[in-house]
Formats: sequence, C-alpha cells, structure tokens
Amino acid sequence: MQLKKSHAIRNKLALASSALLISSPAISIAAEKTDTADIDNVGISQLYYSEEDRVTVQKTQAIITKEIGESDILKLSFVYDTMSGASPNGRIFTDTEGGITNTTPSGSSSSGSGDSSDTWKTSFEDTRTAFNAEWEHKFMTVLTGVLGGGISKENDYESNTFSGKLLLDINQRRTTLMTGMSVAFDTVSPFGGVPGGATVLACHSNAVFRPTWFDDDCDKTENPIRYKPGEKVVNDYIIGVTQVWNRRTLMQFNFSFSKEDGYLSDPYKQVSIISSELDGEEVAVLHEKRPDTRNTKSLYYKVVHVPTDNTSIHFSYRYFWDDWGVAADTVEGRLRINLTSRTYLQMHSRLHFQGKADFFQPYVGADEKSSYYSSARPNNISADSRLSQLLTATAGVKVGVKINKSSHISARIERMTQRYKNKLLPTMKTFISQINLTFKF
Amino acid sequence: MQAAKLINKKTHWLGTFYSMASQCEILLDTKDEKLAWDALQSAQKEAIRIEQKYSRYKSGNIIDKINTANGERVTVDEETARLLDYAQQCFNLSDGAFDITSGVLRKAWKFDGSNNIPDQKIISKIMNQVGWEKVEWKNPKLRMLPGMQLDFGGIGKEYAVDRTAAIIAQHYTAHVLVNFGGDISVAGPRENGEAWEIGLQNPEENNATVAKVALKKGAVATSGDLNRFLLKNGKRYTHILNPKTGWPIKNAPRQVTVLANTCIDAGMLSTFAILQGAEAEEFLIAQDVDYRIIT
Repeated sequence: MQLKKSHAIRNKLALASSALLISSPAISIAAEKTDTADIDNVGISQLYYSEEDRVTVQKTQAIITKEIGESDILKLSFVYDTMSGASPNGRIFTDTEGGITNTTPSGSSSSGSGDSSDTWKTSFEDTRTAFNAEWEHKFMTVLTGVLGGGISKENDYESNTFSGKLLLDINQRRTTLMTGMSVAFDTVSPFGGVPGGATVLACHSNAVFRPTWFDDDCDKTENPIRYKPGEKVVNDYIIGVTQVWNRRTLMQFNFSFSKEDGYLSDPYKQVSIISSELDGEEVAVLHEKRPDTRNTKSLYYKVVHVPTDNTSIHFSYRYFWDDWGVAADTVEGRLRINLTSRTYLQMHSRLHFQGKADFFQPYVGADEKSSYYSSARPNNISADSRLSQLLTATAGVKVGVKINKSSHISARIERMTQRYKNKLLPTMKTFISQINLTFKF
Repeated sequence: MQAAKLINKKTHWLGTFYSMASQCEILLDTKDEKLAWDALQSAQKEAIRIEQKYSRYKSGNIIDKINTANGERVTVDEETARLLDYAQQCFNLSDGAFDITSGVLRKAWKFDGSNNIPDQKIISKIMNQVGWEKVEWKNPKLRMLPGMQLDFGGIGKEYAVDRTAAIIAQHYTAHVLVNFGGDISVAGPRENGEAWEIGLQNPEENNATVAKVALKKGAVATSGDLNRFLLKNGKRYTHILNPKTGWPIKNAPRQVTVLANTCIDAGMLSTFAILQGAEAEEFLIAQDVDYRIIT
C-alpha cells in the first residue's frame, strides 16, 4: 500500500466525498428524477407554436428510452408536425396593386393580388415527419459512446443525419470530456425545382427604371429557369468539458464548429427591387442567393448551481460567429423552484442578439439615386429577416407535477418577440405552449 | 423508535436520541425552542432513515437485497450508487486496503477479547468471497459472487453525520454540531461566532478528556479498536482486518482521530491511517491533517 507517499490522498478523498454529498441534501430532487425521468420510459408531448399573423406549428412528439442489457440504452423519437400560415419571404411591404405571385412550399401558388399588403409573406401548409434513433453504449465505467441517426421529411425537404459522440469521465468522474461529430445530408425540392440565385422572379408591369442586369431576366420570367433539387451537406464537430465544481455547482464548456456545403439558399426567400423614382415602389422581385459554403463556430458556457434543496439555477452564454459575417450572443437563464415534493415551477428567459450577414440587404435599388443600387447582379444577396441584425427576447414559465411514482406531467407557456434593426421588418411575436407527459414502464 | 430528548443547556440546546448503535447528539444555538425541536426530529429521522436503509441487520433493505442476490444483478437507487462509487474510489485510493466486501471475514474472527484465533484454512476459504475487484459495479447495477457481502459499516455513520448536519444547516440553523457516537460534524460556529469545543475522550482511561478541539466548521471522526480485539500469547489482534490477507492489521494504533472538512473524509482518513499499521502516524503527517493518535 503506497498511501503515505502520496500527499494527495486527502485531496482525492475530499473530491470523492464531495461527489458523494453533492446532491445529498437535494436528494429529494434526485430521487424524483430517478422516479420519473429514468431509463425505460416513454414521453409524449404536444407543442403549439404560433407566430402572430404568421406561422402556426402543432408538434406531436413521442420519445421512448429503453435500457437493453447491462450497458446499452436505446432512445427512439418520433415527431409529427403540421405547419401552416405565412412566413416573411424577404419582400418589403408595398402598396402596389396586383402584387407579384408567390410560390409556396406545398407547390401550389398563392397570388398576392387579392390582398396586396400580404405579398411580403408566403403562405404554406406542410407536414413534417421525423424519426430519430440513438444508441448509447458504456464501454467501461468511464467511457460512453453514443451513435445516432435520424430522418426528417417534409413535402419539399428531406434530411438524413448520422452522429457519433464519445464521453470520458476522469478525475473521479468529476470531469467529463466529450467529443462528437455529425453529418447531415439535406435536400430541398421546391415545386418545379430550385430557382437560380439572384435571378428575377417577377417584374411588375409598371417597372420602368431598370438596370440592364435584370432587364434581361424580366423577359424570361414567363418561363423561369429551375434547377434540380438543392442539396447540402452539413458537418458538425464538438468538443466539450463538464466539470463538477463543488457540491452545488457544475460547469460546462463547449466549442463547436460546422461546415456547410451545397445549396444553402432558401428557395422561398425573395428580395424586392425598389424604385426611388416611383416613390419606393416594388418594381421587381429577385430570388435570394447565399454563398455555397458556410463555416460556423460557437463557444458555449453553462453553469448549474443548486443554492438550496429546492432551487436550481441554470445560466448559459453562447457566442456564435461565422464566415458570413454573422455574430451572435445568447444569454439564457432558468430558475427552478420545488414548490412541494411533487410540484415545481420553472421560469425561463433568454436574450439573443445577432448581427447581420454581410450579404443581407433589405432590398435592391432599381436606380442610381436609391440606396442599395446595384449596377451588376449581386454576388450574394438575402433579405431574410433571420440574417438581419435582430434581438430576440423570450420569457416563459413551466409547471411540473409528479402524478405518482411512475408518471410526471408538465406544461409550459412562452412568449418570444423578435425585433429587427431594420424597421421594414415587422416585429415577430410568438406564443408557445407545450404539454408533456412521461411514464415509466 | 426511542423518543428523542431535548434539553435546555442554558447556553445551547442538546438533543439526543439513539441510532446506529450509538448515542446521537445534536447541539444547537438558537432561542427558538420549536426550531430546536424540529431540527432534532429531522436529525433523528435522517439517522433512522440511513440506518434502516444501510444496516446489514435489517431484512428487506437494499443491503439485504444485495447480500442475498446470490450472484444475480441488483439495480440500486441513486443514493446507494453514489455510496458504491465512493466506496470504489476508497478501495482504489487505499490500494485495496479499504474494502466494503471484507465484512464476511467476521464469520471467522470474533473480536470478543478471547484468544480464538481462526484457522488459516477457514480464512482462505472466506477470502474467496472478499475483494471489491470481484464485484461487477456498473451504475446502477451491481453483481457479486454468491456468498459475498457488502457492509457500509465503515462509511454509513459518517455519511449520516454529514447529511444530518447539512439538512439542519439548510432548514433550521447553521449553528449546529452533530455528534453520532463520537463522529462529529460542525456546520457552523456558535451563534456568537465562537467555535464549538469538543473534548476527545480516551475510553481506556474512564473517558478522561485527553484533548480539546475547537471547531467553527468541519468534522472529526475516530477509528480504533479500543474494546474489540483478541489476545493470544500476549499478542493483541485488532478488529481491523486486512482485506488482502484476511488477518488483522499488525501494530495498528488503538485509536486515530482525524479532523477534516467532512465527517466522511475524517472517518476515511482515520481508517486509512489504521490500515497502515505501524506507519499510521507517518501517513497522517504526510497527509498534512490535524490528528490525535493513541497507540
């Protein structure tokens, strides 16, 4: 026995015992967790997401977690979404009569002529079916591997994902090192095919002042050129470390980067061409065009602190940046309070600030006097509000009730508003509600 | 369950009850009698909960389930899993000298002060059922060889002391000292900011106080074999057995008391020290801990 040689025994013991005692005073929380959120359970949830005057999504989800043998866990999830409504397509508000027709993801067309003020939105209806499987295997007490795969299908979109992750516990399991990667193959196939990037979709009959580069396009709008479905490949990599800091505090730090290649534009997003000569009237509409590669990186820090038996605080910060010029800061906090041994209340808030992409511009000027005038076809261009400078604020509350030893019900409501620096883009107000039921079997 | 007693000691409250084969005490500084009483009851509740859950003498508890599994896998709850993880780490840190599977050696060794030294053949046979390395522990499932037994005796009381102190500090007052049969945890100083004074007794000298310790926060635990030993040919065999040989540790000190941040750390350090035999003190010095030793 070589105890006496290593002075560190005392420190190692202290670490081990703090791991033992870490959740001890909060054992009621831990016990509750094992009662309901343990392996061998099924969870069903229904989510309702509604953007004011825009998109409504109903999401039904079932997740089954099952332990197989001694060291394997299988997790299966099924999602069925129905989406309907209208989402901003990038075009500006306009008073033009007999607006330009929008194509829709479901393939049919909706003419804006009935209500010209709605040309800035594209109506659609779609459903999404997704299936995901994840297999977790413990190689040793301290080494865990996770393999996953998923498929998601909409009328016009399909995504196939494969992922792998390794988790290694060191330092008496107080430190967990994680590394993972995933690859996704996505195909977008809008009705008729993918439009050409930065090409003119439609020209208004009274468009008079035009730079030559889209004058030619306008003549071709009767028979627009469409390409085969757009494909992209997304590779994600992540490394991270989770550290038990002390009896009541846990920290996590991740770095991730991803590389996207292929058709990265959104075939439904458009850009208005505005004439200053016609008092800012929309004279034509372009398809957007984004670069065909995107490299993103993000740093993520999270701390979980349990100040008392009945409260826990989660705080996280993420910094995101990419080679499209987008940079974003996200701060998120959660406060959970156990009201009784069976019920808890959780408050959630999130602030997200994002800078614009280099190629974002709200519209294209049709004549030299107007701003954003472009004498040549823009290399990349998008008026998608999601690529503009924006501030998103979310606040919500969740209530959970343990019904009995094997079932748990929770419900949450959330309000999210997204404001854009560009005042041409109206503020988005979203309401989210979700109910979730978990049973152990 | 014996009723708990609360006594007004003028300068503090003394609550007592009996659990884990020990006299249990909590000392509280508060003017609020109701709070003192509630704290005492929650202390008793916690001590009894841990005793019921981890005593190897109670049938139907998790230890009984594990010890009678007869080679089958047993799924344990989260708290037990943490204790098993901890015991495993102590096994590793002590290079196998601290082993919660060594309790079955009691079948051979009866430490009653007599001269009944068991036969090596019996010890060797029992040794087949000793050794944490023979245990398959994959949280939350545990599998032992038939006949093997777990015993949390070396951890349970200290764990109960730490938990009780934490519970009282969180729900009632931090001006509390918890003492279960000499294993002590102090959650915080007296109400006036002063330290609690703890007298360390030597049971071989009529419980005379041999040393005094002042603690504002921290813990004290004692390991030893004062009343549990065998004597043969003038040789004293301590009740602390070496799980690697099945024989008592040679030349171990009779009692080691260690001060540490938590009672479980103090208890483990004092146990580790005794497992060093004659080199106990050397170990304690190397660990740079505050200790008292009776050889």
